[in-house]
Formats: sequence, structure tokens, C-alpha cells
Amino acid sequence: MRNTIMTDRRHLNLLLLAVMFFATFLACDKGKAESLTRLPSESQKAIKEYWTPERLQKARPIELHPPPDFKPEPLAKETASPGEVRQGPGAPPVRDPVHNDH
Amino acid sequence: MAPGEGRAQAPLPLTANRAQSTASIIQFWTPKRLLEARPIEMRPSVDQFLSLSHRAESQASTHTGVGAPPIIMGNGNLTRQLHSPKALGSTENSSAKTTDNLPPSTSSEGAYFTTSRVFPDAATTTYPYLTVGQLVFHNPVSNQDSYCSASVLRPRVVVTAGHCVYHAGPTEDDPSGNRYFYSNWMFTPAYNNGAAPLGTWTWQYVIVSGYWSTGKGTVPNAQDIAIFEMVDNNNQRIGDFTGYLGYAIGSLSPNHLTILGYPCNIDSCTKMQSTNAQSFAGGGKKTVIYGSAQRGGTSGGPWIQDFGVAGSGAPTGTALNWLKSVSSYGPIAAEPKYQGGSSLMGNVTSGFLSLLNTVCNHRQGNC
Repeated sequence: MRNTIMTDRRHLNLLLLAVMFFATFLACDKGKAESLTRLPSESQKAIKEYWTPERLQKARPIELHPPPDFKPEPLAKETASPGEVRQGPGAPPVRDPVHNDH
Repeated sequence: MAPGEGRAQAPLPLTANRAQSTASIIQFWTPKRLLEARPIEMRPSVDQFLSLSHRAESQASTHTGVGAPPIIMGNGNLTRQLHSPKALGSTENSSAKTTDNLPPSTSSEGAYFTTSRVFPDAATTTYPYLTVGQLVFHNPVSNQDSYCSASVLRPRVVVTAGHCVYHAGPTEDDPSGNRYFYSNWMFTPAYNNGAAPLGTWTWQYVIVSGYWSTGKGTVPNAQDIAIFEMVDNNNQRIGDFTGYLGYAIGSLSPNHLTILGYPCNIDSCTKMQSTNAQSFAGGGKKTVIYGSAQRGGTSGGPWIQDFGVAGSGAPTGTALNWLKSVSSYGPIAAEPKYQGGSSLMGNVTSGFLSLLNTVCNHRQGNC
């Protein structure tokens, strides 16, 4: 009788443990898509002072690229015009348009 | 058989020589005549119209927030010169392969587009261009300063790409793959080669999508988005000076958009560039690809549907400036020329709309 009770308790403990693991798993899974927030640790003045003309000029662009095996999926076929040759580029006015001497 | 024989002859062109003098033509166009002239309008016959094989695509887009022009005119004495003007040029080697018939800047493997400098300069200080600017930030680990682009979305809210806010995986600057926020963001609306016509604006709260923060820094990413609450200048909100864009969820394809930003391959990251293009391809993970010549530096720049200012009498809904995405990724090679962006998600965990709602509720008057 005592052994049966112990076994039942062990089962109950195992069940509780499993429930806890499952709940933790669910929380972690949900957390994957949770957004993150941040408040500044620097003052507005400190940020503006940080950005000296030299720093602004030396900053570099961020550029992200997909992996080498990336293949875009065409949305729709377009009819190309293979014979098209573009000639005759445009040009800005050579005279100031607001001082027309007509 | 001679060439062309047996085929329908092509109609010949017509020519005309001017019979009137220049002076008489100018005199003909009196103010009264100019005002009373009517438009010529050509319409196809009903049969022709019905034979067109355009498929009506369903537009499932939900327009949830309209934009607005600035309520404060002028610069409020905020104008600053941030640095001396740079020499204009490209930061990249121009070794792009070109197609036989097309200039390299207008098309790339079928992804047709036009990319050009926003011109004249004065246009950049006019709504809705005025909502777009350059975002600079600092990587506290690598000690590198970087550029992105961003835009004003609500009176005190600025939107950019998640990768301009959060280091989520290995990068050139920091290959460690550690995850952390960047710092020292400063936004300059209508930035123009060192000039800040409306001053510079710093941040006081930021939220980045969980899709980006847990995405190991790889693209395509389903929601490469981050949203800032900005600090007021002289007790005025940024959007009061710049106006702000509208936003619309979904329907990134099929669509035709205007993409704005400060790419460093053109004009040395110093001048706002505009790309007009239609959706070209799917990039996977809810991203869509548009043809574009803009490269690094344009990250976070807005993708806008119905861009501009509506003329009087224009169809309803024209020029309402809906934000549809922001620039997320581009190719390593010079060809093809394209940019990818995430389709804005609705009110789901870590979706664009839930991020925006969080920022809107963070402080009264943000939205």
C-alpha cells in the first residue's frame, strides 16, 4: 500500500516536472518572436556631442546580403523588348530658365 | 522579292513646316486663350478596352494610418551644418556588367526601375520628402559608426530597419554573433550633404521586432523593422516640422512603390535618392524584391505607395503616402540590381503594427 502511494507520488512529481518543462518550452518559443525595447543610457546632449563632423564623415553604410544560394522567386513573366535601344539622353538647361530673354 | 514586298506597308510619317512666325505664335496664346484651352483625351473603344488582358489583382491591403503634412512651417531655427560638404561620387567600384541594350541603371535582369537623385535640392525640404532622412548610430562593441536611412511615421515616431538598431548575428564589424542594441542614434530629416535643414533629432525609446532580434542577423527576414520614439526639440515634435507618412499593412506585391534613402554607392551617401519600381520577385520569408540601384546606406529607408502630393481632382486615395516596407537587403554582386523588404505585419506579436502600437502607447502625443 505504502509502495503504491510512493509510486503514485513519483508519477505525480514526474507529471509536474513534465508540465513545468512544457510551460518553459512554450514561454521560450513565444519569447522567440517577442520584440525588444531599449531606453537610452546617454543624454540627448551626449549623443549630439558624440557626432562630431569627423565621426559623421567616417561612418560607414550598413549593407545586408542574402546567402549565396539565394534565388528570388519570379512573381510574373514580363514581355521583354529585346530590340530596344535607348539613345538621345536628356540634358539640363544650359541657360537659367527664369531669365528668359524673349 | 524585294524586302518589304508582300507585306502591309508601314504608314509614312508626316511633316509640316511652320507657317507662322515665332512672334505670331506667342501673340496667339493670349491669357484668355490659355485659360480657355481644353485637354485632348484619347480613349480606346469599348471592344479594345475589354480585350485588354489585365488581370485585376486583389488588393488585400489594409490602410490603417493616414499621413499628414507638417503643421509648423519653417525650420524653427533648428538648421545646422553638420559637416563640410563631401565630394559626390560612389563608394563602390563600378564594375557592373551591363546588358547590350539598356543602360545599367534602368534595368537589371527584368527588374525595371528608375533610380535618381531627388531634384531639385529644395524638393527634399518639402513634404513628403521631408519625412525622410539619414540615421547614424554607433556599434559599442566594434566601435564602428554607421549610416542608415529612416522616415517619420507619426508625430514623434521614426521607423527604420531592425538591422540598423540591433546586432542580431555575425557582421563584418563584429563577427562574434553576440546580440545587443547599437547606440547613439541621431536622425537628420532632409539631410543634404552635411546640411541639416531641420536640425538633428535623438531618441528616447526604441523597439525592434523579435523576428529580427532572434533571426541571427540573416536576411531575408520576415520583419526587419524597428521603431523609435524621438526626443522633442524646443518642445516641438519632429512630425510637427516634417509631417509624417501613412502606413498600410500587407500587399507588398503586386505593387508599385517609391523607395527613398541615402545609398553610399550614389552621391557618397549625402543626397536623398528615389527609386520608382514595381514588385519584381518574391524573396522568401514574406519579403518582396524590387529593382533598384540603391545599395548600402539606404537600409531602413521607406518604401511608399501613392507617394507625393495629390493634384486637385486626382482620384481618391492618390498621394496618401502609405509606408509599405523599409529597405532590408540587397545583392553582393553588382548585378542584378535590387532591394528586398519585409511586408509589414498586422497586430501579431512582433509585427509592425504591434511595435507601432507599443511606441504610440509609450508616451502621450507620440501618434
